[in-house]
Amino acid sequence: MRSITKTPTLPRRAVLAGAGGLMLSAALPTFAFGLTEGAAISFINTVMTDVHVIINSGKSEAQMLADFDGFFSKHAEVPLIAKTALGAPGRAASSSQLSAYIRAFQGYISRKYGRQFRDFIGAELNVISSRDLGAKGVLVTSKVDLPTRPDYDMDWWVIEINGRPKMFDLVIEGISMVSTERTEIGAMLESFGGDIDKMTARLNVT
Amino acid sequence: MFMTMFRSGGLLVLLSFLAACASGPKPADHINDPFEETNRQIHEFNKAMDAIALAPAAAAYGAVIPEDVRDAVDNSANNLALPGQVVNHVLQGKIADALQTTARFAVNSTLGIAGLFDPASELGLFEVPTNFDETLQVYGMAEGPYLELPLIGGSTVRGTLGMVVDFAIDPLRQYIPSPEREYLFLLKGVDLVGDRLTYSDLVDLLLYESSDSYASQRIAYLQNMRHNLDTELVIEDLEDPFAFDY
Repeated sequence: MRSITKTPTLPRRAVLAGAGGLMLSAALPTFAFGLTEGAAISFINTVMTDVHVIINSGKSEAQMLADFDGFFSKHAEVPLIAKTALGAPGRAASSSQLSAYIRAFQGYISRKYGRQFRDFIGAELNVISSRDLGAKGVLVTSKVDLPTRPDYDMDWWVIEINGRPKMFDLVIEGISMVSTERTEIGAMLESFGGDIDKMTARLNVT
Repeated sequence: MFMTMFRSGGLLVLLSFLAACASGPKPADHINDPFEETNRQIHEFNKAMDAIALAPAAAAYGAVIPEDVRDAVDNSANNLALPGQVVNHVLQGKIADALQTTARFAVNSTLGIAGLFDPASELGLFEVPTNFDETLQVYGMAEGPYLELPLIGGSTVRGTLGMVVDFAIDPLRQYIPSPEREYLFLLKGVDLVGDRLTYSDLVDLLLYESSDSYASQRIAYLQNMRHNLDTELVIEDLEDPFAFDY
């Protein structure tokens, strides 16, 4: 995976699938086949196009972060990511506590990771390979080529929700966003003595 | 180089012994930290050292030294790490990587003027980073408990052992006389300051913007190390993304 000289192992379907491929797969009803590697790759290409539209828009930082909020709700399965980061303590929460937490989490990750997406200015994303994880979705491995800094590996964990591909995790040089946020939310919850409401209030201003 | 290879023969015996400590792959966010209490104390020390020394030094380095010079320092330090990487590639049986690294060292040490420039990358002779930690993994040794080392940061038992062995088997140490050898240490130190500058956003995020900087650094170190060492992805070990779909 790490060697740059290695030949990319793109599935043939991925080569054929462009924007048209995505529209076709979105138009077809989903059968038990689940998410294909080709559909996951064209989804990632769409996601990157949207990232570039936002960062090259010339808007102010506040406007861009608002755009990233919309970007995350459109492309990422935020409620599931939020609940995974919270883990078992979330099972005891009431539904109103949980939805307030999920809203706060959405704003928090949009600000935190939206800021990091600015690094993508002038960047080029090259899909290296993909791997079918069965019921767990598809893992797309890519390399981000930056004009001024060393390139880095970025993996996209894509799952299928109601027949549509959605981001579940972003893994940069092996470091997973879900694992990072599970650590962060766990520590934050502990610092508030397990009080989800207080933690939600903190997330809203972080 | 030959003497080092010869001495590495003894290492192979040690390695096959260590292979007895083998264990299967672990999930990507697996944490084994029985020394957490001590590690946390060392973490507080490291964080204080970063705040009073390393971070200010990195900021000053970035402000005073032009980027071209900083790049040359970085290239040079990376170049000097290559002979040790060749030894590890050989020990891992990765002959193509060993040859590529040798060619890279030859090109950058000559055309690249003692490693100040990196013409090898333009010829496609990229760095294939490795270390004795990876060699130990190839021979089946488990990473062992997480350790935070004073002034160094995140590591594991295997990573710490690997660092000691990497220092001992570095071919440059056999061939470069004192005091030049000591200058190389200085160069590595300056390069460390440069790395703190290059990764300042990430380090600041981990150390100063996390609710628990120790836990954040630990998971980031472990996942990045497992990624760099090409640890095999086992689908069964990946968490179920729908486990918390409550």
